[in-house]
Amino acid sequence: MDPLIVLGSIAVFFVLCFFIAHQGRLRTAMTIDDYFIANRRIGGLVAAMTYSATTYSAFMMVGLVGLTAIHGVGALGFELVYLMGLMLAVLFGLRFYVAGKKWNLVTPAQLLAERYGSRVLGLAVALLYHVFLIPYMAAQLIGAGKLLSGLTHGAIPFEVGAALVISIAFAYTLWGGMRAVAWTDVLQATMMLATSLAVLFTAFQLAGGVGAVLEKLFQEPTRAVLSVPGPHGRFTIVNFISMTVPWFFFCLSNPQVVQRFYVPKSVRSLKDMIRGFLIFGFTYTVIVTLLGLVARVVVVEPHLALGQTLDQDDVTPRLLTMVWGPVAILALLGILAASVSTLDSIMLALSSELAVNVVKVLKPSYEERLALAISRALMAVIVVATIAFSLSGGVIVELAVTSSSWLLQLVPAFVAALVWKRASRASAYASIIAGVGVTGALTAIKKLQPSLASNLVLQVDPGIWGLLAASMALVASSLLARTDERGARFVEELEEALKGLSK
Amino acid sequence: MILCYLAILLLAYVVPYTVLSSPELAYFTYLFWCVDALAAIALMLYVMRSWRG
Repeated sequence: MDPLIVLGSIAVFFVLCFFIAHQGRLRTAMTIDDYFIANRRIGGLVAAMTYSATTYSAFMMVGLVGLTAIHGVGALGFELVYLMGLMLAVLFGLRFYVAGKKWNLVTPAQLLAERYGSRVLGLAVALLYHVFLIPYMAAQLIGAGKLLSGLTHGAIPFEVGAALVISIAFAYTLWGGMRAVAWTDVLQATMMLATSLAVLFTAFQLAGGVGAVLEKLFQEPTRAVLSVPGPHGRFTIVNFISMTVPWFFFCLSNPQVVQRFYVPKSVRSLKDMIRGFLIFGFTYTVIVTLLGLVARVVVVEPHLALGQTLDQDDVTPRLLTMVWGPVAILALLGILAASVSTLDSIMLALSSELAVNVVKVLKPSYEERLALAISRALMAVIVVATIAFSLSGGVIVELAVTSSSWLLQLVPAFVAALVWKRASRASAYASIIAGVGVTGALTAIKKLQPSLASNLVLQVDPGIWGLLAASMALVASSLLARTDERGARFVEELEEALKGLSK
Repeated sequence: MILCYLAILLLAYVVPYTVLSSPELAYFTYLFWCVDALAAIALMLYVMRSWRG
């Protein structure tokens, strides 16, 4: 594909995005509340679209298509178990929403600081978010970089594609804050869904229709892709648990997602956000995994017949070189939209953590405008770190799961903060230290002693053992310590505020 | 309600690795996961019906 056409299409699409972002900027005051959470005035439809675009990234059309094509339908189970995890948003989303309004919270770490009465805890969690989310941000760059490079046969190098995508996201996040991000997310989520559907139809045509695809998939040895553990044994039950558990808690562990519980303008908008996301998520997952199965027939099987192997992240770029040019361009834009919409939300969430829990804590005398300016400037450091990490390579799925595993260690402290009066500052610290410590220790053992990798304990993702340790440490230390009056009052007031919002 | 949800979630892990592991039924894995997820979604929508304001 002609690199000039590719770059021209990207330019047109992102000029449109920037125009929308600018409209958001015109309506945004440079205060922390308005810039980071749009003064809690986002309606249900926009909230649903920004939740969807934030959650679904390049991982779907690049990582998940490749995972399905190479390793089979276990990829669908993996993604749908994540979607089932939205029950956590149903159980706790209303509490985050009410707490956000009642204590004027802008970031997730701020909730911990308020509930446990520790600004240091808020600062530590804000910094942990930065460390844990860089691999996930890098996954977006790898997806975009590989796609651009693959589609143009290397004319646009991987590094240029990656830098281009993060620069676009950086530019308009910096410019317009939450309104810019949420409004562009509406366009980008629509693009993601529409283009994935267009590619699916085109790919079916390329394969000779639905019947031809099914016939091929049902043949030996291809039919192994239709069940678990898949043709290469990737989805054994242990691997399936390892992959799904960290993602199941995604809606509570990722700050860019939790922050979306603060932005709806009413309970009805919050409900519409979750409902809309469930519909979007199910539809998009089915489209993407079906595309993976078609890609198995038109991309992977011909490679296998020639005795060649194919990297799972290269499946989508290969597929797009085979479909009609305009559809490939649209698909490219849809995937870039997915990357950018995830990146911008993460950048905004991290920037808000810096402003509220780092700058304002270290320098309380700074005015809001100054704290905001400093945190926006520090976003550039995050951008550089992400580019550097993306150049170190890695498979998109692995990077995404790694991020989720580490972020998982913060979940018990959040859940306890919202529901358990006995949970105290000490137990929150104990939980996070135990979770991060166990995850870190097991990860190090796996890296340093590859010979132990066959051990069942080490086959399970370290993050899951970390979650168990974090939960046990939280419960044990809460039961041993005296009840913290301030924390107990927080939960009581939250329960009181919830009365009348749920029958 | 929560027990019902946990049962649906458990099925997502158990059924594909037990009932659907036989070669004759393995093709239903994709369909099963879709139906199971739809059941979980229906339950979530049901729980949210009580939200007001």
